Amino acid sequence: MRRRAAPRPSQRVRIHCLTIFVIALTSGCTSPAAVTRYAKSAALTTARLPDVTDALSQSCRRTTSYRLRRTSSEWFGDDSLRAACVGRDAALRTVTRANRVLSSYFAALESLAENKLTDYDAKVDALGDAVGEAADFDKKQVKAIEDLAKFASSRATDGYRRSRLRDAIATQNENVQVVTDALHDILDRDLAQLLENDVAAQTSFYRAALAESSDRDPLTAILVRDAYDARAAELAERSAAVRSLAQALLTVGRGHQALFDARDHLGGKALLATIVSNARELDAAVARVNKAF
Amino acid sequence: MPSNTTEESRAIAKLYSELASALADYRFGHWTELSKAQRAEIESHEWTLLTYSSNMASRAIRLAGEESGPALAGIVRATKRLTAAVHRVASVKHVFALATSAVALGGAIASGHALAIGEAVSEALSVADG
Repeated sequence: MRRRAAPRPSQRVRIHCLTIFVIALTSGCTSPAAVTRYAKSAALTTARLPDVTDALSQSCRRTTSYRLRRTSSEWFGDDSLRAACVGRDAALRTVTRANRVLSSYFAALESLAENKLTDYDAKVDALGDAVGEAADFDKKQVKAIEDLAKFASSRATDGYRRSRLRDAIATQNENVQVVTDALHDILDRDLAQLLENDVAAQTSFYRAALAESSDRDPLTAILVRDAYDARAAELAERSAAVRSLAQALLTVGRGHQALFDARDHLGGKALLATIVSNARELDAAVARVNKAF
Repeated sequence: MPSNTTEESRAIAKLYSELASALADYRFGHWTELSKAQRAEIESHEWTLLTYSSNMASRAIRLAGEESGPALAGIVRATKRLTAAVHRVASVKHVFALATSAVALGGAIASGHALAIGEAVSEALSVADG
């Protein structure tokens, strides 16, 4: 018996199959697993910075309280402490704003990688302008922050999607490098210096109090010394965590550079291995900051 | 890369922190030789210098303007000389002079006036070498 020949697929079916094949192939070539992993870790890292700035703001009030207690016999309230810390608080706010822009960019990157629609966040764009007005960054840094903010706030409205992931990484890489470098320097030098000054102020406060009263009241002196040791250990841990977070920001920059270098092969195994290693470094830094702050 | 002004501000913040620490070392190292009033006066200068250092680190003090470059170089030189002088100082009178000069220099920096900064730098260098 002659077997009936299988029916030939229609032209429409053939085109449909070809379309699915091309989509699958394209999707495989631009698999965003590395981008998603990177964006999540980078976002978690930048999410810790406000804890650091909040702690430094509180530290300023504590240090001012030490100073006023040592140099004046007059009563002082919280308003005096706030007034003395206006400059530091303003600088910290600027840092936090710049960091939030960076954080929003990573959220946008993750959305693109996962092909999600996200809400328009006009506030991010305004943040970029606010950072520029604060003038605590140089022109190149301000432009990078503004560009990142514009990208992050336009991710939904401009139709950026997974297919444009590569372009996003390419166009924003330099901005990410500039902002992560700037935040690294601020953490590693300025915030570390502020912490160092707070440590010096605290040491002076406790040491003078002990020198003045340890002979008269040795038991109290023991308790005061214990309190000092506990606070000194806390500040030492915080200083180490700030430097660790500073290094983590450089790691964030290196991770984005790796995405940029491999932007034509975002689904490559080598890139994923690099990003996983990068993410582990970031996770360790975040754990250290979580413990210290 | 940060601007030169930013870098110099950071350098000054560090130097003022070191200067405050040098004064604290002197105060505690000569605790029994100093009167209560003398200790209080030195400590007051330490707090002021630490505050200046923190203000600079916070960048609350803006040293804007291209002409501020040479003035900042003078500030760095004068502050280093003051710190070195505190380490080798022999009399408490000289410590007061050094601390007062450092505080005056910090005040001039805070004012942002190039002329005041220049005069304070000259005074600080003179006191440090005196």
